[in-house]
Amino acid sequence: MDCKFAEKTSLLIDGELSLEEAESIKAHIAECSECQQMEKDFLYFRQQIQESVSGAVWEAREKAQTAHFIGRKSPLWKKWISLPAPVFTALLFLLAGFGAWAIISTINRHKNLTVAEELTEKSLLEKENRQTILNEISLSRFDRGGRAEIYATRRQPSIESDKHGSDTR
Amino acid sequence: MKIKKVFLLITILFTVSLIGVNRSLSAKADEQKRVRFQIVAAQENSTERKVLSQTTIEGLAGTDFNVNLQTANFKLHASFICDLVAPDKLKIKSKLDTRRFYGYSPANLPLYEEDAQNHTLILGFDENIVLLPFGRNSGGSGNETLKIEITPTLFADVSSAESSDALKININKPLPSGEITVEAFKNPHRFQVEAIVLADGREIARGTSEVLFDEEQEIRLAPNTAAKNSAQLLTAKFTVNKYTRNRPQDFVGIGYRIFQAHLENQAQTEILSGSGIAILGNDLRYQLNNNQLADDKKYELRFNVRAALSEQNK
Repeated sequence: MDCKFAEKTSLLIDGELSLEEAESIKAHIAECSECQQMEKDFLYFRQQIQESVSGAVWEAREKAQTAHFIGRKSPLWKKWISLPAPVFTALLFLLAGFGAWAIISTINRHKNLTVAEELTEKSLLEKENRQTILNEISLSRFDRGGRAEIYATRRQPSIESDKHGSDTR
Repeated sequence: MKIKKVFLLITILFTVSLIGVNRSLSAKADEQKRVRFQIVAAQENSTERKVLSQTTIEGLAGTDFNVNLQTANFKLHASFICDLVAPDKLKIKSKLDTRRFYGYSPANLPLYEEDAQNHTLILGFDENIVLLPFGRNSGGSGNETLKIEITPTLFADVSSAESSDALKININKPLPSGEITVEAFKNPHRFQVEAIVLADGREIARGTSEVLFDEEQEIRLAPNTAAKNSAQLLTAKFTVNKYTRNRPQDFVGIGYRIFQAHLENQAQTEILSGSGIAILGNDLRYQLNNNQLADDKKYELRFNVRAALSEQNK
């Protein structure tokens, strides 16, 4: 940067020179290769700054719009909660325990239901058997619709044998 | 001569008193006699007999019992009122009430077939009672009959006086289905009944008699001197048909019919009948209206029922 017009080139790009000065600098840049390169560098640099500035502005505007439409607070599901590692581990164990308990209890319930069904079937069978036995031993098997009778009779010797526990004769 | 007469009189009196003492002693001995009833339910056909259940009741002479049988469709209530009427004779009044399910009416209501029988049996101790709850089933194979045999035995209790009054039921062989039940109890069977007729509050006739349980007994109401119209001879026919234990006094169910005798033609007209519940030892009063006795007076009939003296010691 040996040219004394280098600083003026920067001012020209920024539009900070008077019309006369700008005309004379432009005439110089047209002849000075160093200044031409300088102008190019300035313009490129300026473009980069403009691009980065316009991206940040756009992002800020978008955020402002989102805050306006949704609300100032961010949603709960988007929030992060920081937990100490031991608490997180305990919670993890609890969750695993609950899952195991749920699975075991479901299996047990299923087992119990099966046992209950078996017992019900068994008790029904027993009831039927009992009813059959009752029907067999019930005195109603002698009932053929006859009228009750009563009479006195000479004592039979079988009565004496019954006293001694004889069931049949 | 006089001495001889006095001696003869004393001898006669002594003999009579001895007979009396002897009778009272034998009566006491009868009272202390115990009766055992063996109740056996058995199934029988022409070739085989099988005992199903066996129960023994033991108590003082005069012990009553019930035999109940209940199946799903049939019910029998057999009651036995027992009296020792002679040293070797039992008088047993039995009532058989049966109820059998018959079916359903068109309106789907249950229908029952009911039957009631009364029997009086004079039984020696070499006899037994046979009760056929379902009647006789004869003919055909497998036609078995259910028999309930009741066998009485009389015996003198040699154990202590305290235990001799005790009523015992032993179930020697229970029926597996539990369809036959036996109950035993000792209630008074003899009652002293006094009947009095009052006219305007004055006694004009009275009669007393011993009444046996569930047997109608006639009580002649003998008119006294206050009775002006001796033609109005009244007779009461009285029954004690129910006995209920209660405190302080037991209850009895009574039934009565009052007859008026006509001397001219020896006929009797029933002028009043009724029934009620009497407390033992208390008066039971009924009004006899004037039309029945064709008089202007206000007539009243009073009954008083007590357990007979022979029953009060038991």
